[in-house]
Amino acid sequence: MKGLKKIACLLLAMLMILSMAACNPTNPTEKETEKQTEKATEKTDETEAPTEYQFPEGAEISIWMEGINYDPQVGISTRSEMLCWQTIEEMFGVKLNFIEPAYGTKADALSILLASNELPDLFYTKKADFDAHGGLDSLIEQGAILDFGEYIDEYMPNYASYLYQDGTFKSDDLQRATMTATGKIGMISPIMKTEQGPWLGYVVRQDWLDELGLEQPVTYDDWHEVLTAFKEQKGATGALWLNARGSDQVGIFGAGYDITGLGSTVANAFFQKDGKVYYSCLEEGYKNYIAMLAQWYSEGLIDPDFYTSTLIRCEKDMSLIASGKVGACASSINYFPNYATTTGVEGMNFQPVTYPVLEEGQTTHVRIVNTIICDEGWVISADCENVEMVCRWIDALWTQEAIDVLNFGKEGVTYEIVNGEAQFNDMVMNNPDGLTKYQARTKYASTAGMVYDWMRDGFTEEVLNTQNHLWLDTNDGAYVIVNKSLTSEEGDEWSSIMADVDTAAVEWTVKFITGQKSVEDDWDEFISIIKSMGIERAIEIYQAGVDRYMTLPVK
Amino acid sequence: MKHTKKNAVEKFNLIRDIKKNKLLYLFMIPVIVYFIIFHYVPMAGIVVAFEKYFPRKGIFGSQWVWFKNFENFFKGAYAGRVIKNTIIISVLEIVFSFPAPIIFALLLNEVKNAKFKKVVQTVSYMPHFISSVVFCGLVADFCSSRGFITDFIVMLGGTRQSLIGNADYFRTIYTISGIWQTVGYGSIIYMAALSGVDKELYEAAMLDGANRLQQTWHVTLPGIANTIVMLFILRMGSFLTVGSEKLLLLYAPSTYEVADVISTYVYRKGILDADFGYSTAVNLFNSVINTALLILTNKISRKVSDMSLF
Repeated sequence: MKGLKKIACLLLAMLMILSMAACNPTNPTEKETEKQTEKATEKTDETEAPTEYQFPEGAEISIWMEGINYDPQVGISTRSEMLCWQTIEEMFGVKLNFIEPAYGTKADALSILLASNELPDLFYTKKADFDAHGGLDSLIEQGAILDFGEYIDEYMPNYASYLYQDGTFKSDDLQRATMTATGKIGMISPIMKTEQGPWLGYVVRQDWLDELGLEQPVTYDDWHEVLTAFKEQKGATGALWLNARGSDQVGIFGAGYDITGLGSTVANAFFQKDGKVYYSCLEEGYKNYIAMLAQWYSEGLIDPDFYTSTLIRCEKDMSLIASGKVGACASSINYFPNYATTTGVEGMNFQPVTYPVLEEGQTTHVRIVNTIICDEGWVISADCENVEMVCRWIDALWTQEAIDVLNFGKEGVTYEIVNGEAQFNDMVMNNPDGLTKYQARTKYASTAGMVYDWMRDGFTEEVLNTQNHLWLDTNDGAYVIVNKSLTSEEGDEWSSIMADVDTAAVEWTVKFITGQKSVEDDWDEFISIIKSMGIERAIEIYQAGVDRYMTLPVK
Repeated sequence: MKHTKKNAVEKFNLIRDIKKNKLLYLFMIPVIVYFIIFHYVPMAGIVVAFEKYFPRKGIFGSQWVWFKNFENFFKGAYAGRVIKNTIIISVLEIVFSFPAPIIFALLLNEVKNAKFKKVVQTVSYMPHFISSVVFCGLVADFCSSRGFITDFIVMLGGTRQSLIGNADYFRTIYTISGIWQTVGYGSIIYMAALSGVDKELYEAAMLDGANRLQQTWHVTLPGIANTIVMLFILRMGSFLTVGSEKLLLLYAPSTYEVADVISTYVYRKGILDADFGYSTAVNLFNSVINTALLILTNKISRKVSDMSLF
């Protein structure tokens, strides 16, 4: 009996110790750090970093980035397996610890991270991801992130030379695009190597058109005819692919109706005419656009489950294209030329078409506008312990070597320098493992180098023509609000109003399209609901942000 | 879970009791620690409901807005809808999902073939052990416009449409799939209670000429009534806590009208829109109602049946 008691006590004690251990966040980094220091010392011996970028031994930077959209053929699940980042680690002897929330969950993950108050050194993500948190200005004011402004002059000579000197782009334009409403610099974004035109547009199945003896669709009526033929004669159950918001990435499909549609983010539904800001849903054109989609939906021309999709473009899930259910969709010039090879469907041929319009010859005003900087970048958190080191590291990425590495991978392995310019070699362009150009590029190179060489994929003349003429000539992009700058109070109020309005807008749009609500009878109710949520105030705030943008104090 | 007899607790001396039952109290420590750390300490966080809260500024640094968050919620466009939906879905669950395991247990109890009974039990437990994500994925797939349930309905002459995306069918699908998921596992506790019913009572009832149905009604049910009432009171305590997990996985903008409940709204506001103070306020309101309902049900039960939790 006594022995039993002892054992029971012992077990209990162990249980308690275990539960204590579980409560106490242990510090697993300690051991790792030791290992890493050893590794780092080995590495610095191997490669010579430029003298100005000598980082302390065992230096580490933690970086938060959305996880990779895993492709089993590529077989890479984290950035630390990517050749370009491994090379960057070697070059500077700084160990990178990537914190990567699963693909598609970054909004939740970012909220939880910011609420936890234990931030990594750096974030690399889209600027729009911070909108829900009031924007960069608000986060700087809250003390969650730091203003790069003062550090650029001190620690970042390379970046400063890109930002404060006229080069490919005017310094004033670059500075404005980088600044917040109060003139702070919350994010360091990649600059485009050369200006890029609209890389997004609609593509249709040319092989079906040819077979059915149809012309490429121009007006919405043409589209109706083509989609009906696709449905009836080719069995395409979702002939037109739209995203869950009844739109596409920026709202091109509705552009013929003189609005933008809901696009893919809250801000997409705002547009401007001659400097005055509008919200799509309040416009007559949107009602007509939705009425048309409702008609098409009832005829079975749109995927019946379109509103359950979480994809930004249908090509992000190639099985949809391969299934033969899709006859037309919005696509990026990086993707559609490779549809046939990626899916392995014989004879599949998607060709770009002009933006749909009401009448032939009409000019539309909504498209991907020419970009000079990427809409993503580095943000430094207030928890970063060695700000100088981290800033110098970011600056090191602006050296030509690092720019090439991030754009192209590793010299001699995935790229060669030809006439002073980096170019992918056959490892990417004709991958020995049978990966497509695009797959191979995602395996070895980053999404964007600091000076982003979007031409790196080696587009054919035809594809470049699509971007530089077909998708550009009939569309001036005048309605698109490229930039606005909201103060932190404005940002908070705007995001709080728009959270409600956007939910309602998506909900009602889907109901109108699927026929659960009638466009004829229920439209006024929808408008009065979003008005009661304060959409007019949100437009007012946005207007102020657009007006302020042009008056930002540039150096 | 004790019968309330006030004289039983008279002159309770804690210190003497601890001395007497040292080991038992020792066993309790981990549980108490758990409750303190994970259930009582976080309660302090409700002050956030009265602030415009920014995590970085902390509880003391953020601006006090007192009842502004509550005001915004009740004046806002969604308060009426999410409260209504929460109540409707809760009532549906109590009316249909709560009795389902009881009926299932009673039916199983009548099965004489032991092997068959075991098989049915095991099969019915299974959905409980599938992760919600997978389970809801299955439901959504079956009820999509190309799912097999839709195929079946088309075969019977219905029109082809996405069932899960139609607001008219959402609640039905939600309730039925909920029963499918929980009926087997939920019946375990009743099966245990059933095995505790005195066999002699059945013999006595049989001698009095009671048939099967009468035996169930007069012997079995009263035998497990305690368990049922106890679980019912507990269930009422979470009346407004409709599980957000399943709803989040099943709803879509087209079904928000009937599927958006307080907890999903709190999730969207708190996690996606990062409006922490506001969502805490909404959840606090939810908890207050829950607590009130728990106490009320408990009181009624004590008056009517002399059974209560506390």
